[in-house]
Amino acid sequence: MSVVIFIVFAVLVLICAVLSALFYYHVRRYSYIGDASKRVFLIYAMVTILVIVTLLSLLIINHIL
Amino acid sequence: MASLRFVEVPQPVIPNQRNDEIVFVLSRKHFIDYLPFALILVALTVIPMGALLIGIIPFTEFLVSSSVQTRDIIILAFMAYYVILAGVFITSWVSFYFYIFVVTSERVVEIQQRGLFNREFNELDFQQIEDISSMTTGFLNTFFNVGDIKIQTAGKVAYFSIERVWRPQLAVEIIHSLTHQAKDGVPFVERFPDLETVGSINGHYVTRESRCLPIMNVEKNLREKTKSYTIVISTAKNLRERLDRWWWRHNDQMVATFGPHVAGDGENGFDDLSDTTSVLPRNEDGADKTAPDINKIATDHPETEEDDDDLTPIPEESEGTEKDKKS
Repeated sequence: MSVVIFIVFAVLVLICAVLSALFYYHVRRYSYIGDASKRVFLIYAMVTILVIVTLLSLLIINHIL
Repeated sequence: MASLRFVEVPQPVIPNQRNDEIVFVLSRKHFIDYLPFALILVALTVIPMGALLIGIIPFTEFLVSSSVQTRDIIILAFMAYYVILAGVFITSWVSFYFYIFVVTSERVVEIQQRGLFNREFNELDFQQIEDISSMTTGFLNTFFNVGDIKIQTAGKVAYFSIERVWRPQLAVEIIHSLTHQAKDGVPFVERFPDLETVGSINGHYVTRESRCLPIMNVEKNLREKTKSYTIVISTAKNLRERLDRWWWRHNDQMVATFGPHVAGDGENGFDDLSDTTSVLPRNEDGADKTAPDINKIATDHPETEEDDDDLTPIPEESEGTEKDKKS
């Protein structure tokens, strides 16, 4: 069961990574100097990493304790 | 009048932009267009968190008493919810932010981004414009000076509609002026708005006095302009600008600003750049302190390959000269 849970989590992380890659592609291709797209992408990436790390930690703690 | 630090975009603004095609208006959609959606997204993010916090004690008891599998499912549900929210946010934000309305000396262009995989490019020649009008309705639109532009055309599509752009009236005046010139047979390299305010970048005015070329295809044009224009390479003042520079350095783009010739005069809506900028050496004859006629540049300085060498060391040299100045 634990393996299934971690696989599902990995799939969700993968979807997140694909979405981030698409976002990055658009920002890299269509942004101009001084526009907000890079900052928005940076904030998005940081929040995403924070969420993934937090939930993964909770998942691990849940199985350790 | 709002200040504007970055004026130039060292890349073609639109696909197939010609070397001598000047961009007078560049406008994305105003943020108020995205505001309702942003509020919904914020609510969808905050409400579950708030509900969790309000019911924190019963929820904690539930978590403690529940099995490992139940807690796993709750964590996965959170993750799935976040992934869906992220997907919705990215799709909507890309659609909103990468909508661009551009007026150049040759054409009116509207680039619509619909979702992640649908990009529409609409172009209108000045010769085809029959009538043009702007419309600002509603409290927020009036307050922020945002509106729609409607262009009646003589082409296959009867109307060319541009929505929620900054300062629509100014854009209309510029298009009107350029259309008159186009219909009078003025070649596009000589077209220039017959107005005091000749351009607008996301609502920031570019005045005639500023002697600032609004936005151009600098890739090639910069080589010509270096002979007659002062190029201001500003150093990054804050994190925002540093990030911009970092980004473009990694994309092989040069960070350059066509500033007013007397840097830091601050009278025409530009920031005072004098303390943080270094000015590159001007042309060989050097004495020209006033900006040349923009229309003459293209004809007076035909593009040559030798000019390439003038530009490659610009960022390094500028930093060096600035340090020298300070010391």
